[in-house]
Amino acid sequence: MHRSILIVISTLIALGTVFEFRAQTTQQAPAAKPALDPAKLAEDWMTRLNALDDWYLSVDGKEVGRDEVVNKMMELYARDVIAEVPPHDEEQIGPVLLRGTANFKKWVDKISRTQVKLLYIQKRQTKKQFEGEKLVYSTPLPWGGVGISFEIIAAYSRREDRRKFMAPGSVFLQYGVDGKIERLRLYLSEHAEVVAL
Amino acid sequence: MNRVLILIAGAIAGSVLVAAAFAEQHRPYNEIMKDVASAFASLKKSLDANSAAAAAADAAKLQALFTETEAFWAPFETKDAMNFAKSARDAAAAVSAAAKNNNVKTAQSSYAVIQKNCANCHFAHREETGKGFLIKP
Repeated sequence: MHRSILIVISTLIALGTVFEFRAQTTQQAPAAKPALDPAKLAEDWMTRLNALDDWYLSVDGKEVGRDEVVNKMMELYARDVIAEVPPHDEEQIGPVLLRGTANFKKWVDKISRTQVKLLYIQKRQTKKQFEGEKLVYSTPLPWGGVGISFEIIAAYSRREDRRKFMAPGSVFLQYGVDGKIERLRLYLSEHAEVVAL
Repeated sequence: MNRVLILIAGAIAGSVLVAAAFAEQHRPYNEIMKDVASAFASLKKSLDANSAAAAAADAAKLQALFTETEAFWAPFETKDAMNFAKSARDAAAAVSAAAKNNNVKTAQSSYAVIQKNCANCHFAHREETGKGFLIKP
């Protein structure tokens, strides 16, 4: 009789341990999502921006690879992205606020069509023994996700005449918990033409 | 009678549209460039041999080829490439005119202008890949 009771109790204990373990593993699963790395996010954004001129013309005059580089840039953004970008029209005064990917894509598309030799770089800073550090400022957002900002120098040539320009600036990006950019602010100050001495 | 007239007018309009569509199509760019290379080499030989008549013919051929080159770039609004083609065409016309007047020296200097425009355009719009060239818009 005692033996039967012992068997029942040990079986119940074993089952309880198994259920507890399963419950823990199911609770742990969502935590496996990788955290957003500000430095990598900044690097990725710059790489995709600089790739916007990586397309060619075929011998019969067709654009080759332009849609791909534009779509690669657009992959980063949430559908309802809000983007504040510099004027991209000679008649436009002040920044432009674009809402949604459809509007924002027009801006990305325009860069791919009008600019070549894109070389946007992250500014570096040296202090004490630390040489040429790319600084990316970041903060967790109260509603989830992460906000990052960094200084840049924009360098590009106009496609129509190959005149080269440079402008210092800064980028502010807000990423949602899904890793998509929900807000972008790109500030570029005065554009100076680069001319040979 | 009216029906026949309408049919004839329709046929004429159709042929004109087809002809216009063909005219708008460009030859592949690599073919144009290969023809430029051979006409340009031939022009150099003709000028070196003081053969004015042959040089004028080569230059006229180049004029037509640079017009094709300009037409290739026109839809992309790549102004510098269009200007290089236009300048090269004008220089080819100058070579042709000078050669017709038996002025080989002037033809030689206009020949150098063609060469300069070719080089500038290649520098800006031709990308070497190791396996061939890409056309950079």
